[in-house]
Amino acid sequence: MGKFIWIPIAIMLLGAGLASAFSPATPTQISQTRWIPSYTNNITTQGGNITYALIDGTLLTSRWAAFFGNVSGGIILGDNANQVFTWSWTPEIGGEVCLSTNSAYDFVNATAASTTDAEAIDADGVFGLGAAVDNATNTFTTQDCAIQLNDTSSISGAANVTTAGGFNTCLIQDGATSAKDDFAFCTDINATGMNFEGNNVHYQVMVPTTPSLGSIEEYFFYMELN
Amino acid sequence: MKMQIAFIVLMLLLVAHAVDMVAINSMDGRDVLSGIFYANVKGLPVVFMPSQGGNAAIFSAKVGSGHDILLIQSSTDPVSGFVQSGLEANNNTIDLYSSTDGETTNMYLANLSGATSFIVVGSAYSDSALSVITYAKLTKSYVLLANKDNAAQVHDMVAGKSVTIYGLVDPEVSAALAPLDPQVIGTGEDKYEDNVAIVEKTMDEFNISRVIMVDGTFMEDSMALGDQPILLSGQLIPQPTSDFITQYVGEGKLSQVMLIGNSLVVPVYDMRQKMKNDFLSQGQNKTFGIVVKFAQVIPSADSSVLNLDTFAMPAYEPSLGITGVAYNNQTGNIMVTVNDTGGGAAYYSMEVDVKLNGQDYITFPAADPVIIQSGEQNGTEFPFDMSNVTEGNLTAAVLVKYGASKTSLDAFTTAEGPLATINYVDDSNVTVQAATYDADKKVLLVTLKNNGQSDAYSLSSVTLDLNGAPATITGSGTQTIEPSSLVVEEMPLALSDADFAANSQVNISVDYGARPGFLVKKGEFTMPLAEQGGLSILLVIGGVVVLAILVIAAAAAFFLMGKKKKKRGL
Repeated sequence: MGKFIWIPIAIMLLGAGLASAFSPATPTQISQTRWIPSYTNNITTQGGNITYALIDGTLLTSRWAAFFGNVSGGIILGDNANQVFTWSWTPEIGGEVCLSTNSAYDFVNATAASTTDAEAIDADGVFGLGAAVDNATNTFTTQDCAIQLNDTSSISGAANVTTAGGFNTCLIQDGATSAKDDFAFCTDINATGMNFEGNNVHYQVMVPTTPSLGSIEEYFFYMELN
Repeated sequence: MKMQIAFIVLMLLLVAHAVDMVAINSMDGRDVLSGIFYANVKGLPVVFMPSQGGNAAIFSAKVGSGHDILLIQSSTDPVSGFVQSGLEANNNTIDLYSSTDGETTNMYLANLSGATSFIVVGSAYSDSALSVITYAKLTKSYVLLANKDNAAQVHDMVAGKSVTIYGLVDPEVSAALAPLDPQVIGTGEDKYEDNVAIVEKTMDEFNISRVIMVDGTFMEDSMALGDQPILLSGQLIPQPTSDFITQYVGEGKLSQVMLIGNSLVVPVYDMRQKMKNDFLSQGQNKTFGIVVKFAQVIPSADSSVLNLDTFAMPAYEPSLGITGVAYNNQTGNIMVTVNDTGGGAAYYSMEVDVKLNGQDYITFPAADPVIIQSGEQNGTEFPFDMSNVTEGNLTAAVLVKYGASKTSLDAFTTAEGPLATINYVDDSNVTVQAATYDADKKVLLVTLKNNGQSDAYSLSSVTLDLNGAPATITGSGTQTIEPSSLVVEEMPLALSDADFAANSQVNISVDYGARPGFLVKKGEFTMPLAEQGGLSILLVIGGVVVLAILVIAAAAAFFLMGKKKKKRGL
């Protein structure tokens, strides 16, 4: 009797074996190792290009930091007969350098920030400069700055401060003033400008820093080309 | 399976309480992308360790303190071994997800995100993933990195939810998702055209007038933020990209382009100046702003000026080789074979210049670009009448231009040498023996037979009726079939009961030939579609019937033996 039981099982096993006898084609695997980066950083310069903006130095106080530097001109790629790129930007053409804690500042909707707006910088929750003599309220005391963004759109009447050497730092905002990220600190590029030490630089701009322990700001540098 | 469910439940429990930030510490770009996709669905800020120059102390300083952080960290290849301890030392609470594999992490975070909308992109390269970041964030969609191997898993993840396919994906992915009737953005034929399509859609739907323009080789903070569409370009601005900028500036819908670093300054500045002049010649004053984001600094931490935090992403660099050039006396054709040695598909066009004694004799100009898949060989034939060439030295120079996009053939390879002559007749014969659907594995199986006396090469495709519309699924690549042998080709495909019922007969097309790359013959077959599971049920039923017969026979034998014993009076 026991022997009989194994007969249908054997038949089924045989059937299953036949059903799997034809194995499917092996798929080609795409190597995933390329998701692991292996090349050197390409952000500051690349072959054929030059570094457009250099930060030559900084000046720190307890509430303010200043940055100055040069911006370099462009190059023409290709030989005289076959110029691939025929236009080049130079500092003489002009532009702006701006700093903001916003990693993607909205320059499209940027407007002039007034001296009243500058007071917001002193508030807790923004930069928290408080009532110190060198706070933003006492720094951005005039608002006669004019700056041109997006090649054609001009912003005028922005609060500003003139730094030693002659560069203006102009205050702009993106439609709100309740957070650090709403502000940007800009200056016009000047090919013959001077920094506070009397050296030739193309820009110099100052930004507030939060003085309280444990608070930090990460500023991003932006340059706009006229 | 139980172990997998238990693992997922455990991980869900680990991260169940509310995190307020996502941090990523991995050299695997898929971990970085998946963390960004997850954070953007959940509306959380996200930070990642840069792939080069990453410093755990600076990273920790930028994150700050008092956060409850989901840390996605590679178990085998983190950028830094000090990130977790640095964040904890800064008074942050860490929920660690240890990533063992980027693909698994992508699926896991998809589940964890609770997303009800998905965008499916090809997993091989980063271009597509970068292109959809902003649209995904604005539509609260999670982005799945799909390929032919995980097509069924992707199907299961998005079934019953909103799904969009973007750009070039493996055919198996398209086929697997076809029954779900997905929205499709881009054709997959040109990455720049596809990119422009998603950028336009994002700008139009969400009234955005600025873009970030990059070459697609890295990720940066502002890109991860997902509030500006990402426009792809190269050192030469592709035509679709240039056309888009000109059109949108002309219509007043594009005000600003932001560049990350300096690499695209020259071409974009050059393009703008030309565009301005063109508009001026038409009496219009139209332009756009160029903003270059170029450095970062943490002044209160007394840091020096730093490079921007970037993570290098895999940019696709196609690679083609010319593997054969010969003249076939039997067909009167020059045969050229190219091989895709890159990690993905490429478009190419070919030009052949035949020389007699070093002098140009005849030139076959380049035709429209065609696509070749990774690892495949393609052959091209050029009819060449040699009857007038009675003597002399014949050479051929082949120029193959290729690129990742149909309209951007920016690489090339050449071969030049004596034009070898071969005598070759293609007597291959391939037929289809069966078509079967395996509902358990969600695959369509096509059995091919080589009836010839030498190796045959075949590429098959099956046309089915899906949701009332014809859909074609093509095999993963050319199959090599030995003489008098069978090969079963497997195509991932999820069919509902209704789909299966609607396809009792399927049409199978087979391109085949006796030389790799030259699939010059074609066979068309209409086959009944069997179900693999059905065969097993038949076997079981058959077994039960046989068993029943045996039991009845045994009972009868016992009965007869009992009768005999009674007769003997035992």
